[in-house]
Amino acid sequence: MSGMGLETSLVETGAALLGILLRLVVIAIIAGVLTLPLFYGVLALKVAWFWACDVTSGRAVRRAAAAALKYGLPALSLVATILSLGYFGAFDYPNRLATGLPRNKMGPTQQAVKERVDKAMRWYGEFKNPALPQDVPIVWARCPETARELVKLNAEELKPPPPPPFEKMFPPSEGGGGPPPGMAGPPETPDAVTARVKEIIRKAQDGSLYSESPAGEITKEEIRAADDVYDRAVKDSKATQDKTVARARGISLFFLMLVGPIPLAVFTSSLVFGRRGVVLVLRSLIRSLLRTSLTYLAVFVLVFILCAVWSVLDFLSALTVQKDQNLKGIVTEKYQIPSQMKPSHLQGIKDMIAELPPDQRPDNIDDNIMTWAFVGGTLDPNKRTFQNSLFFFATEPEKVLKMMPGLEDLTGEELEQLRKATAEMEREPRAVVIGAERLRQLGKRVGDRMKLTSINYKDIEFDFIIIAAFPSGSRWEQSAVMNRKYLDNELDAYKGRNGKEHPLADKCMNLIWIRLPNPKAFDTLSEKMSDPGKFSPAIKMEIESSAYANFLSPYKTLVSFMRYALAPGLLIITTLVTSLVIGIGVRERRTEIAVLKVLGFRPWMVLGLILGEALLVGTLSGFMATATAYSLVNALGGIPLPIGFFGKFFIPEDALWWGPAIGGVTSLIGSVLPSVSAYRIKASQVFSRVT
Amino acid sequence: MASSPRPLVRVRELYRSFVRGTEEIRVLQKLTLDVPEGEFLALMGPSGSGKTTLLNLIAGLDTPTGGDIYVGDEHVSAMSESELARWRTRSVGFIFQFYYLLPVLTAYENVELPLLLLPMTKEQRRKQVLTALDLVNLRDRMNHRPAMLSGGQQQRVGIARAIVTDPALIVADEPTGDLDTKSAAEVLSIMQILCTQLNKTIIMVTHDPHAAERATRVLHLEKGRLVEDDSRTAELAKREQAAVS
Repeated sequence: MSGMGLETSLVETGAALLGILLRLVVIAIIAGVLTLPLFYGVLALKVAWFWACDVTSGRAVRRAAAAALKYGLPALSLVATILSLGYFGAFDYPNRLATGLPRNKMGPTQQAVKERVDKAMRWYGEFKNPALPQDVPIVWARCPETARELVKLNAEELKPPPPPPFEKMFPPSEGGGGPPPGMAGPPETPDAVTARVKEIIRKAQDGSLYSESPAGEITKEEIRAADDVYDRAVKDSKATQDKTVARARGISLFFLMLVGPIPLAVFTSSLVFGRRGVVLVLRSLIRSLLRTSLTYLAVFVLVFILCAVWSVLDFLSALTVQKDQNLKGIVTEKYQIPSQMKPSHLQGIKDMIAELPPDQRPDNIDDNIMTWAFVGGTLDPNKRTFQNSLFFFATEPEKVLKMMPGLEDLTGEELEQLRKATAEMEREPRAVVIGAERLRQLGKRVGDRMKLTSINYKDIEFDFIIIAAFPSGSRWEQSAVMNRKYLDNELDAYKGRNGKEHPLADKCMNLIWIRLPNPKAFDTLSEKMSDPGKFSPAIKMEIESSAYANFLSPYKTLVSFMRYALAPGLLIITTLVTSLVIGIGVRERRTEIAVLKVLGFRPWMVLGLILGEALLVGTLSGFMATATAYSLVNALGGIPLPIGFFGKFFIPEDALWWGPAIGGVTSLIGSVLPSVSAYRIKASQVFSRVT
Repeated sequence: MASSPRPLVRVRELYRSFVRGTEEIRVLQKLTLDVPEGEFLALMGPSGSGKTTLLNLIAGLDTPTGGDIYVGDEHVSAMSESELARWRTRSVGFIFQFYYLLPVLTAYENVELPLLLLPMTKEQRRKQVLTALDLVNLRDRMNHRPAMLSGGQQQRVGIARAIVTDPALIVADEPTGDLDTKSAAEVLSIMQILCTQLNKTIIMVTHDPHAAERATRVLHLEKGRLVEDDSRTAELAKREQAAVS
C-alpha cells in the first residue's frame, strides 16, 4: 500500500485519532444525556417489579396489574435474555472453548437463534415495506406503450419542484451544500413509479401485460430507459426493505438487551440476597438523582470511548493472531516497499509448491493460491478527494470465496449472493463488487456504472459495472474487488495504444496468497523462496498474521499508545471516577449505614449493598454506552481512523457483552474502597459524632 | 417495698477508656448496675459523663475495656461482632434522638427492616409490622416516606421499628431531644405503655427532667461513675407504697 498514494502517514493517523477522540467525547456526552431517561426507565421497571411483588391487597384491577408485572416482567426478561445472548453467541462459549471454534465462526446455538431472529425481522420487513419481486423479466417489445408510460412517469416525478416565489429575491449561494456534481448518485425511485412497476409486475405475472396490441416499434434506447427505471425501482424496493429490516433488527436487539440480561440479573439477585436488599439498592440509586446521573454519565462516556478504542485494537489484534492449521502465507517482494513482483513469479511459485513433499502440499495448488494487484483510482481526476477515491484489489474472481480473508462472518444468503457475483465477474471482466459503505459514500448503487481513472496505473481508465456489494458490517464494506483479467486486458490495450509496455506491466503482482496445510509446509516453502537467485526481484513469504504485523509496524507507536496508555488510562479514570462518586455517597450515608448496623445488618451485608449499587449502575451504563456506540458508530459509517487501507473501524457485536462487563467491573473495583469504608463504619462512633 | 424482679441487665465493674494521642480518657470507671426486667430507667448526667457510652455498651454497639455485661442469659461483652449483630436484631430495640429512618423507604418498610434479618415469611412480617404500627397509632401513615411525616410521627415510626422484633430491652438515646413538648409527651406515653403493659425494659438517656419524670428509676452519671437519684427514687417508692396500701 505504501507509495500507492492512498495510504496515510503516522502523523495523519495520530492527528485523526486525536480529532476522533474529541468528537467521541462530545458525542458520548450528548448520547449519555439523551439515554438517561432509558436508564431510569430500566431502573423503574425493576422498582415496578418489586412493587408488584408486595401487592397482596387492594382493588382487583390493582392486584391483576401487579400479578401481570410480577410474572410478566421476569418472563419477558428471561425470553429477552435467551434471545439476545443467543443472538450474540454467548451460549456457544463452552462449545467454543471445548472445540476451539474460532471467534469469527458462529456456533450452532447462535446460528439457530440468529436465523430465527433474522427470519422474523425479514417477515416484518416484508410486512412493512414489501419488496417488488426481483426476478420477473419484462419484454418491453411486447408492451411498448407501458414502457413509454413508465419512462415518462419517472421523468415527471423526478422533475425538480418549481422554485419558491421568494427565490428570485434570495437566490441560493453558489456551491453551498449538497454533494459535488456527479457524486450524488441517482435519486430514489419515486413512490408513484414504484406503484406503477408493481402493477406492471402483477400484470406480467397474470399475463395481462402483453394483451395490449403493440403500438408501433420500440427503439433500443426506449427499452434501455424502461429497463433502467424498472430495475432501479425493483432494487430500490429491496434496498428500502433491507433498511427497514436492519433498523428493526437493531432496535429489537437493543431493547432485548435492555430488558433482558441486566433486569434478569437483578430479579435473580433478589432471590439470592433478598428482595428488600435489592429494593434498598434501587431506592438508594433513585434517591440522589444527580449523583446517580453523574455516575451514569461518567461510566457512559468512558466506556463509549473505550469501546471505540478497543474495537480498533481488537480488529488489529485479530489480524495478527497466528493460525496453526490452513495457515495462509503472503508472498511479497523481499527488499522493496511497495512490493511489485513480476507476473511470471506466479508460475515459479506454483512449480515450487508442486515440488513440496505430499504431506506439505495443498490438494489443489490452483485453489490455494490467489494474487492481488492494488489498483487505486478516482472518479474525478480533476478534483481528487478521499470521498471520490476508490481502492481495488484486482484478483481472480473464483478465488474470492475460496481465499479472501474476512468473509467468515457472512451469512449463507450473503455468501450465495457473493458466489453469484463472482460467477458474473468471471463472465464480465468489468464487473466489480464494492463494499456497501463505500458505495454509500460514493453515492453509487448496485447496477450503476462508473469510470475510474487510475492513480497508480497511469493513463488507464476503467469502466466498471457494479454488480454486488459486500454487506455492511463485514470487513470488506469499505473495500472493492475487481477482476484481475480486466487489469491485464487494460495493460495489453495500453501497449496496443502506445506501442510499448505500461511501466507497471511487469510489476503488477503486489501480493500472492498461498494456503498451506501445516506450519512445516510453510517453513519449507519459505526457505525455498528465500534462496538467492531463485527469483528476481527476490521475494519472501510471511505468515498472514506476521505480514499484517509488518504492515502495521509504522503504526506501532500509535497502536502501543492506544493499547498501553489510552485504554488502561480510560479504565483507571473510570475506576477513579466511580470510586469518587460512590465514596461521596458512602460519606453522605454514614449515619444510615450505622443505623443498618445497629438494626443487626452484618458488615458484609452493608458491603453488598454498596457493591450492588456500583455493579448495577456500572453494568447498565456500560451496556447503554456500548449499545449506543454500536448503533451510532456503525450507523454513521464507523470510526474513520486511517490505518493503512483499513480506513474505518466498526464496533464488533462482542462489544455488547464486554462493554457492560467493563462498566460493571470498573465500577465494582472503584467501589471497593468506599465499600470497605462502609464495612468498617462503627455505629457507636458515628452516633457519638452526631450527638 | 415489693421485692425487685430479676435483673435483665447486669453490668459488672465496667471500664471504658479511649486513647487520644498519648492521653487515656477514662469514660466509665468500675461501673456496676442492675436493671430489672420491666423497668423504665432514665440515665441523666452532664455532657461527657458517659451516658451514651454506657448505653452503647449495654446495647452491644461498643466493647468495654474491662468488666462484664449480661443481658438476660447472654454475656454481651464476650460476643464477637457478628454475634452481637445477630443478638441485637432479636433482643434490642433502638430509639434515636434524630429518628434515623431510611429516607428511601416508607414507614412500613422502615419498620420491617429488622425483620428482614429474621427467618420469617412475608405474611408473618406483615402481621408484626402492622401490630407495631398499631401500637404507635400510625397504620394510616404506613405508606408514607419519612419526609412526609412530622417529627413526632417519625419518632413513633422509630419506636415501632424498635419494638417490631419484640425485644426484651429497648434503649433510647435522647428520644425526645428533637421534639416539641406535645410530641415528646406522646412518645414518652408510648414508652411508658411499652414498659407497663408489655413489660419491656427501657433504658433511656436524657437531659430532660420532664422525660426523666416518666421513668421508674433515675440514675445520674458523673465522670463515669453512677450516682443514684435518691430523691426521685424515694418519691417513686412512696407512690408505689401508697398505691399498695
